[in-house]
Amino acid sequence: MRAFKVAAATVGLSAALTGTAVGLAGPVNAAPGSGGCTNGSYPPANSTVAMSRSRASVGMTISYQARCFKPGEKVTATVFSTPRVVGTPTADKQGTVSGSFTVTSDLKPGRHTLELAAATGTQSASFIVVPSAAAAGTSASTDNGSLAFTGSDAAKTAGAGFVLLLGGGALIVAAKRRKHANAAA
Amino acid sequence: MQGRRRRIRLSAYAAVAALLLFALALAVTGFLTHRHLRDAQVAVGQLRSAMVRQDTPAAEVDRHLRTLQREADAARSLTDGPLWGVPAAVPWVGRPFETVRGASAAVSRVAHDVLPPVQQARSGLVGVSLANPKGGVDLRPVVAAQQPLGRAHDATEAVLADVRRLPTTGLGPVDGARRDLITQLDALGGQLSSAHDLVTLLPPMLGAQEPRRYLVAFQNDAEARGSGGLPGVYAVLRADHGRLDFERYGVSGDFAGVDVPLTGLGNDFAQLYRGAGPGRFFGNATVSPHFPSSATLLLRFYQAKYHSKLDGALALDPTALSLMLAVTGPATMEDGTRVGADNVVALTERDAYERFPDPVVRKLYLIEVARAVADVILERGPQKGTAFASALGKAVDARRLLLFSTRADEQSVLAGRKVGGTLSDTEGLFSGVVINNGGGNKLDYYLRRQVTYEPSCTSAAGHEATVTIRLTNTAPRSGLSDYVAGRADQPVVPVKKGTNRLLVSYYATKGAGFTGATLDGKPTLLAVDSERGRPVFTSTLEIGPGQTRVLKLVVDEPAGAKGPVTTLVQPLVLPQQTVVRSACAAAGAP
Repeated sequence: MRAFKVAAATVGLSAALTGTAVGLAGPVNAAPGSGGCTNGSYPPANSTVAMSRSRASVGMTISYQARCFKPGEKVTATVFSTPRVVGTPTADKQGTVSGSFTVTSDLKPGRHTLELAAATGTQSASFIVVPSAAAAGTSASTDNGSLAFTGSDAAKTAGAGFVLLLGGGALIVAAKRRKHANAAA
Repeated sequence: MQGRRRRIRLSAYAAVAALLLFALALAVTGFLTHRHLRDAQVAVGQLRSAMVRQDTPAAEVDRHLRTLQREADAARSLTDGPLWGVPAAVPWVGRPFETVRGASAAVSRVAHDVLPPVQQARSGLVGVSLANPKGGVDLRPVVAAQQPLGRAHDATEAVLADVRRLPTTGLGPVDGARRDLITQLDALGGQLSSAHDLVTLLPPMLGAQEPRRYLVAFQNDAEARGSGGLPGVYAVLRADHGRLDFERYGVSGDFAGVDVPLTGLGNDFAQLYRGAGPGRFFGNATVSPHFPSSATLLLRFYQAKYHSKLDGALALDPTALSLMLAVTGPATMEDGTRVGADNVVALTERDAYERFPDPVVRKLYLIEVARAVADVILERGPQKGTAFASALGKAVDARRLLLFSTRADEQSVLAGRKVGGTLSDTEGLFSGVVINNGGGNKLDYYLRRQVTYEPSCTSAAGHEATVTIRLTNTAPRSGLSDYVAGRADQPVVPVKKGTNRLLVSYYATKGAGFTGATLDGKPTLLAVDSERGRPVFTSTLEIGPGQTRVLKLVVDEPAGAKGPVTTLVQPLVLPQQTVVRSACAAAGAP
């Protein structure tokens, strides 16, 4: 009991001396809203590039936003792996940049990176390009043409067989009709 | 000539009669076997409920066990002779006979090889005090249970393997019985494996061979972190031959200025938590929901500061303490304050802030609370034996009691169990919401969470889900101190007192993407990250006192990912309401 009190007092003393109780542990950030921009902060902040979607197909637009730039700084937005500049936004008073770009057909299906480069540093985040329609999402639901074939290979084969059968049936019906038509003529 | 024909006819009659008799015998024995197996099943149910209750006398368990053995043996002896052996050997047609015969043998083996050692282990552990007269835990009964539990587990696995090899028959009742047996044996095997792991790990981890020292982090979930809460108070627990002592208590501020590397935590860890600096702030060391990462960082901080290597880390929160105090009874502090199951959470996560505005004084007070509670738990917990163990089990189930070992062999066992607190690495459907407090306050004491996962009705591809995260800040509009309801970050625009800032991360199925998100119905952007290969989408939001905010994500699940949905529920003060729908609600339904 006594031993604890001594221990507790020591802890308290060390905390008091170093001024490091949790409430005081938070580092003073350089500017409002810049939490987490240099080597992290207490309390935690998130400093990753934010996007309107992480998965898109050709023709869709992705909006982005990122913090931790210098106010007024010029930023170059590039999509990789084949580098293509998609914008040159300027950071606002809080050091935030935002912009958007359209997924063009030269972006092959797979993982791509959006990189935001400036003198103060580079930030990046990845997104995935998927073949159109399979991208799902309500904005893509206009083109449902290929959805019937998104199932397994077996289903595809069965589906194709079914289509052929139907097609065959249609041909026979058409042939019979022609016969009737010919007879009537 | 005639005589010969007659002889043929006679022997034909005899053959038909024999066949009929044979069929009759099969039918009668089949009926009797069915009855014995049914009675055996009843006995298993009674045995299970008797074994689960802490206070069942051994004699009662034995009685149920003997009934089970009698019925199982009867079923087996009816089917293990040539009467069933011959038809069972016939290809295809013999399958039902083979399966019934195999199932009867399996039940009998469970009754003789599995359950007696389980009962032996149970009588040595359940309802007895595990207290060591010299203090701490008496490890001898724990060690004594290792061998029988191991034997029971091995026998279960062997029987299960044999039952799996029995053919399916196309006969509904027989196949159904086979399936039920597999399900039950599987569950039993899982439980025995857990129990065996527990009694095998406990002795060495409690210092049976050599003394062990663990960092104990008291996570304050009024300030949310991925693993639970901010580790505001810590202690070092020494375990020596089951004797447990706390060597040192301290506060997170002790580690100010200490910087530890983030190496070995996965390629995506440093990127995801760049804004938190979990290697620079002890209070942020538990930002990840993957406890092995949090524990690794906590131990690195300790070693960097005190130049002393510990054997592992243990994290618990006030709710875990309340579960334990419910069994041990309350602790009394020096100033006469009673700390029990009913008030430990409110006292440590709400009231202490109002009673002791000075953070240094309050931390000392919280250390006093931790110590008083720890004394009672260490003294009375082992006396309560398995009743106390089941309280620990409840805490473990809720991720409120987490354990990490620096020894690779022990950690590999822990990582496969709930107590290890790992982020699931399943490739199947997954849904988890993890919150980190971004305001540097204690407002998460008042945070209410509701998470709904439902497959989208509009998705033509059928593999899209809508996740709705509804968060309510139930903090009072006035009356809270700045420390509890203020802000330690520097908001861009001044906010009303009681306004919280939350980093809300959605942990998705591996390979999933999101195709849109809204906050209160308006489109919003999410930070795109990953942790241990799992996509993580994060929204940083402000939430005023009394306000509800609704974050909605449309998640595109990978075509190959199968259900059921594995969920991750973060242990915070108020329980999260989690709803997982398996199919979308019908059009027009509310």
